Amino acid sequence: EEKKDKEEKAHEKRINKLDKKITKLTKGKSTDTKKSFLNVETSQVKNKLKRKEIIMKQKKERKKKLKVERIKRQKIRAEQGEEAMPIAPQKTIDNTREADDTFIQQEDEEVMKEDEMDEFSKYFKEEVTPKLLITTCRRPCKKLFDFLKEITDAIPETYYYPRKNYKIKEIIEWSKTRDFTDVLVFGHHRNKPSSLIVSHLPEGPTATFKVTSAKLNKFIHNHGNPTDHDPQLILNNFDTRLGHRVGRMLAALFPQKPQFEGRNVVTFHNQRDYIFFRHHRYIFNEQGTRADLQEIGPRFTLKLMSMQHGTFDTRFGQYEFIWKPDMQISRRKFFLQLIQKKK
Amino acid sequence: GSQSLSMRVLTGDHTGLLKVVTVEKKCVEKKFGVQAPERDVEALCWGPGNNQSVVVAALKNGTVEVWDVENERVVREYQGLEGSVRGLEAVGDTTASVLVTCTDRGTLEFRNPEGVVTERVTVPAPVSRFRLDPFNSLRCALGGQENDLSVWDVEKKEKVFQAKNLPNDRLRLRPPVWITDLRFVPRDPNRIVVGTGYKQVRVYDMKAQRRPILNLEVGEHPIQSLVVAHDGLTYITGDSVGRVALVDARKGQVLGSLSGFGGSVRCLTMHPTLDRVASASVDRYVRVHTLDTRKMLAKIYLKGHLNHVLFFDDAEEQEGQEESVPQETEKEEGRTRANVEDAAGAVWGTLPEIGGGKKNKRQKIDDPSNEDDEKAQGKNARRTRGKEKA
Repeated sequence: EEKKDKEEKAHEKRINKLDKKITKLTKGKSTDTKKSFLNVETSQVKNKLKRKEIIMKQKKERKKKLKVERIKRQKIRAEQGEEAMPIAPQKTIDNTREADDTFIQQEDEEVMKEDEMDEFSKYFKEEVTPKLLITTCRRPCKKLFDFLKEITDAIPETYYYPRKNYKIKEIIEWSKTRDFTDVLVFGHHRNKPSSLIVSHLPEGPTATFKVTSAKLNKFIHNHGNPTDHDPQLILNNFDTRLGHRVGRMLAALFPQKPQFEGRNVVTFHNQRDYIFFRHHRYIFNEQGTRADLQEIGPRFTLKLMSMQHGTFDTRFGQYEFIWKPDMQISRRKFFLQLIQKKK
Repeated sequence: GSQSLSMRVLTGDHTGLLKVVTVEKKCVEKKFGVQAPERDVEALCWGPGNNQSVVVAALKNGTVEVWDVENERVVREYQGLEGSVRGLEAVGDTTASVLVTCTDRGTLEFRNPEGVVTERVTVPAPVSRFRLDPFNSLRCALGGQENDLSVWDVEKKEKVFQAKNLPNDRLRLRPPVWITDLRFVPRDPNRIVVGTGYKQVRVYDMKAQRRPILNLEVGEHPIQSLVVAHDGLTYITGDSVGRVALVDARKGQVLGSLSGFGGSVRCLTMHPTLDRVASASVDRYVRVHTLDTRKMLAKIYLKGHLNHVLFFDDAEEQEGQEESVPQETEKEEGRTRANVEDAAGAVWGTLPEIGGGKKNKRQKIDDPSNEDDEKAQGKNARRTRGKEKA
């Protein structure tokens, strides 16, 4: 009972405090009176100094107004409980995204049928197993080699060939004859891996990515070592039509059926159009309720720069998507991901 | 222009679906076709005599289907075309019609409604684009990669015009030729505009010369589609990156561009009467722009890679802004070169002449006693100016 009294007293004290705050803030000048600076049209004030002064005062008033409203809300919450004035979810760039028409609904027949006949359909029907050819730009640096070594460990069925002076088109023609399914070309800039071209064969699309934040295995704390088990794949947030296509392309780099005894997972997590690549080994705890993770293999970020129909052909290829700075991209517009809707 | 959007558009995509879309509501009114990889829609055209209740679609597997738009069913089907269809036109009217198809191998075929090939002509291959002259259906033009523009008389099966390549460049290399799209220019039966895979827009005048009268480089990527505005003064080109440029026909310069495209623009069409452009692009959107303000009126997401777009000829006008066809043509006539010059001539004609400009010159050359005369002329000039003011 004493406890209850104490609680009630504390509660009352809190409400009183809030009341006092409100009265203090709203004492005297209110925004409805003529004296309020918010009513002044600053564009009519010709004197620069005076105009600046008025703008500052307007800012202060606006801030105060918001503060008063906030405290009033707190008061209502304190008096009547949480449900009377629920706290709105925080607005982030992710959840105030511009709506995108190309969001894929759950059972969109057209999309499903198109998937059945697109360039990756053979892979998904298990008629083709992936076989990747990895190479670099001309004259690669040592760090790029180290990075590639780790990639060849992370992704099964990859074959590295030195680039020498071949043109990418020549490489693609050659790989088609040797039954490769994808050609990956990594490029570097200032000793860091910086670009990736993925060209699906025989006539599949070509995606160019910008590679950033590449971190080697040895620089990751408590890293594990890769084995040659086929990993499981996680593809997160590839919601839009373009995202869906990119997701399929990335999935087609890995064997369809993972080897679960290897317990390793490759994750492509798309957030705000940046795709994060992570490679982990997991182990379930004894109760089977939680999986502990150990990171293996490299860590890097991809950003889609262009998606082109057909194999690599920058001169005559037709582009499905090309990132141009003059697309007037707003901070809330993304091409691969959509609003995370609450279920 | 008016902002009426009650327009409809018909699109064909790479999976074989044909969709009728209402631009204003941005919704798909009708959808027909079966999705299959060999049913890539390569060409679309309206029924014979511009009959918009019927649409003809040529597919990748060598069939041509004639669809009834209202009832969404196939009325006729023709098979056996070999190669990709690069030109599809339906000529005639509902009683007697001919279906003209041209494949990339250079097989030009004329079919009667029963599907029997009445005539077959071999034209130079490979063909990237074949079009009938919309103002004179007895003439057609075609071109392709390393196959320069040639214009044929359909009746006599003769070549009427063969374009000649540009002279060798400064390294004495032959400039490559790759025609990707071509159009006949309205109001000038001798002009053809061509878009090439080497980013060029070329204009040919068949009466003037065999080489292009204009060769302009537009953008940095191959031109995928081309359309001419109704007044014949602006060409609109779409390239493989989504840059849609407006080219001034008279100046031979790029005026500007239409914005908002995300991928290769495979097909551009003009609305039959209004100054509206519809575009179908590989980024799965159909866009409609107005030419006068260059604004995008609508952008509609249609799930497949779009290959082709056709405009329906219906546009309900808003009140008080009638733009029916006859008035439109009057307006456009107001903009043609001849009319402008006439108007200009009329204006110049009303201005009074300032005394003796030509006389002055003659006197300068012949007479040594120029100075006095010049002064006199100057006085005269001042006097006439005074008269004008009065």
